[in-house]
Amino acid sequence: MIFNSIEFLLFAISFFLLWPFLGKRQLTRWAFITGASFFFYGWWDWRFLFLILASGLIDYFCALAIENRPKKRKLFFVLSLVGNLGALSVFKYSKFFATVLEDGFAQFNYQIDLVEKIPEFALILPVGISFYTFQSLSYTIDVYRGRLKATRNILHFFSYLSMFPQLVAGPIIRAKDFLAQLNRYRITNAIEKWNAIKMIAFGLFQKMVIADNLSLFIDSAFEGKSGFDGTGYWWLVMVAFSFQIYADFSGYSLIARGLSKYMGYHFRMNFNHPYLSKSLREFWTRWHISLSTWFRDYVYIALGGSQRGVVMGLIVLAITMMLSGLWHGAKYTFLMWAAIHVVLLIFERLTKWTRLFRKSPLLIPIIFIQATVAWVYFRAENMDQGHGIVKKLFTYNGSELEFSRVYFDSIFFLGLAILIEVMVYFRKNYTQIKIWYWRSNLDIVLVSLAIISILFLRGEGKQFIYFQF
Amino acid sequence: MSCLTTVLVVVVKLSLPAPIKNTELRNEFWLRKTYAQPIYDLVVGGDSRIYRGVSTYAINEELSPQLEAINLGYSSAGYNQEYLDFLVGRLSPTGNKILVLGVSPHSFTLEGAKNELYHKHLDKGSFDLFKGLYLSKYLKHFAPYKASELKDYLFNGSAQEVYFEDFQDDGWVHSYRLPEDSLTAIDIYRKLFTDYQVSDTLISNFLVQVAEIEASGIEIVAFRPPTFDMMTDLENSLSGYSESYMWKEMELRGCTWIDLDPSEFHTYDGSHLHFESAQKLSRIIGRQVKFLLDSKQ
Repeated sequence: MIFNSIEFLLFAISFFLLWPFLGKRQLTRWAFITGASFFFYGWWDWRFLFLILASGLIDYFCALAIENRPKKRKLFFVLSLVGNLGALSVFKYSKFFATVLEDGFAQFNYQIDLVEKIPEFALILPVGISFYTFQSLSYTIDVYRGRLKATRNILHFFSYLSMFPQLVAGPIIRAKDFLAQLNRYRITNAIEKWNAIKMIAFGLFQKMVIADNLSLFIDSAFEGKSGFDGTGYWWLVMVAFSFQIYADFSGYSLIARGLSKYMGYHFRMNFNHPYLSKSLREFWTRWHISLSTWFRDYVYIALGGSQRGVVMGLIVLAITMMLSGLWHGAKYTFLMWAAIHVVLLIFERLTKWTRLFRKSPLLIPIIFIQATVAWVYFRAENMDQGHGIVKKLFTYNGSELEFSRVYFDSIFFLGLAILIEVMVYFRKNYTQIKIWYWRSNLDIVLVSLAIISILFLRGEGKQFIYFQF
Repeated sequence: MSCLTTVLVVVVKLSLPAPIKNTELRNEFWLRKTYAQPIYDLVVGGDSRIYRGVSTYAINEELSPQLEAINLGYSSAGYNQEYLDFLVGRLSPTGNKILVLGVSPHSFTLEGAKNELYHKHLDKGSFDLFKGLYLSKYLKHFAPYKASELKDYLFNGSAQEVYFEDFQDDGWVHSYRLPEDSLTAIDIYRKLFTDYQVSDTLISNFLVQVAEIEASGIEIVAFRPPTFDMMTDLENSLSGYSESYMWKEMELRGCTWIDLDPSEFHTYDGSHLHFESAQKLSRIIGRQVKFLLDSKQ
């Protein structure tokens, strides 16, 4: 079930009609959230519910055992890690690892056939596996570190793990933030409800109007169906992709936050206008924040962070980024995407060049271009396609503009997406504009316009890009 | 906020004409085809040249009494066993049993044989089916516009570039394009036939199935869908398709072949017939069907 569908609309209406009745008592609330979330997930494929159940049961019991049997806490912690990462390896990485091994042996002229031997079920990627696995992992890690008390109620745990607004594409919420919230029923006031509606409307606008309208332009380019190949064309395609993936994922996160807010819960911000960053380091504090902070807390800091000297700091940074790349997908292209970020982040950290121009707004497009070039590999089907597109971006190959007529609709929405970010920039940086914005109550008009646009300007309904991760 | 939104929705609906392409109606149209019941006397099959090129209403203009008829053409449809079984399966066991097949070169390529659009709709989940078949009559009022469409309405009063499609209940798409450009499809087909040739295996399988269908008492009327001269030449030279071979082989198996002069029809994009030509073609088919029915009696 996806947020931009009629079935979800019916599901959400039913859920929120029942919520005031079933949400008040603790046990029924947890059971209701868990049941509804399983229904939400099972709509896609009920068989994979067993995977969430198995993953959750392992972590629930391991966390209890870590607390109850201090002498064997390490064993149960490892068990939890093996269970979660094992499931992830089988369903997400088995083909990739098999391919890597095949390629490795092929280097020594030794042919092995591993991919063919992978069972068929392991080739299906369960929606949202990376999200709920990381969420579940964070629970046992925090219990192991003594930062969180394990919950004794299995429904409490599953209502945290399976909470439908964020189950399949995040934000990755932390048990220590959310389990306590689930303990209570809050009657949301009018302002909270308004904020929730605003988030849902803006999130749907980002997804259905911006991201979906850009997809035709981008897909036809990457599938080689457009017939255009000039330098300007590819730059525009990549800028469009930068905004498509941002609007798609940020839109999803906003809807998830809005839905939880309407229930009286709070998810932290997952995107904070990343393309307005003035350094790549800042970009990573604004892009997919829940994942970045997850890797920061459980990988980067766990490995020593920058406390063990400059060189070790850079090595740890590289490891963290490469793991983040691998988290996104089991393909060389995601590793390449991460490697580009590693190189640029290390360069930025060593030279501190962005600090020299900190006040210049020109840094914004420079950082945006860096992110955009890296996105080439994120979107490319394979490494060869990625290399080819990068070559086209940096080698002059004509300046035909005919594509702008053919793809006028997509380019219009790209312009709109850029305009929105420019307006956000001015609102954030110029106090007078900020004051005028708040005084003029523009939100009401903007939400109405967002709804009108969703109704009459939406693109062809596509699945959220991050579902594949 | 809700008042403002409602007012804006009403204003938009009242001030703009219907969108040129109604995605909700399109969805319903394909689902109705895919889940058509076996109640028809006459079924038309083929690719986009057929679902844009043959109106069963126009066929029926030539017939008395009229037949229950449907056009089950799909984009890039290819003649494999599954698709032919689907077409035959929509014929009523007690009806006249006439199958009209548009036999274009693309229908015998491996690309066509994938029948992607047919499968896309066949594989839809039960809620998507329910939505497409029963909710679309409400959802069609909220069909989205294209930005370029709105730009034309705002600055020129009407759409300047129109790819008009009106989805008819009989499976025909009444279509035209403004401005017309007969060269639009040429490059696409040149690339297509460079990548995909007509498959001899698909043709021989098709002919075997045609013979079986004829043997089961179903009358097949076939023709090569007329198209732009340059397109016909391109297909003849690049695709590996031979119309004369197909004509001869189908007649040998008991089919009726309609010989059409492409110069009597006109396309709006080099591939698909303008709706007036589509109606003309359909009436020709209608007369042939009438002849068949009369001779049976």
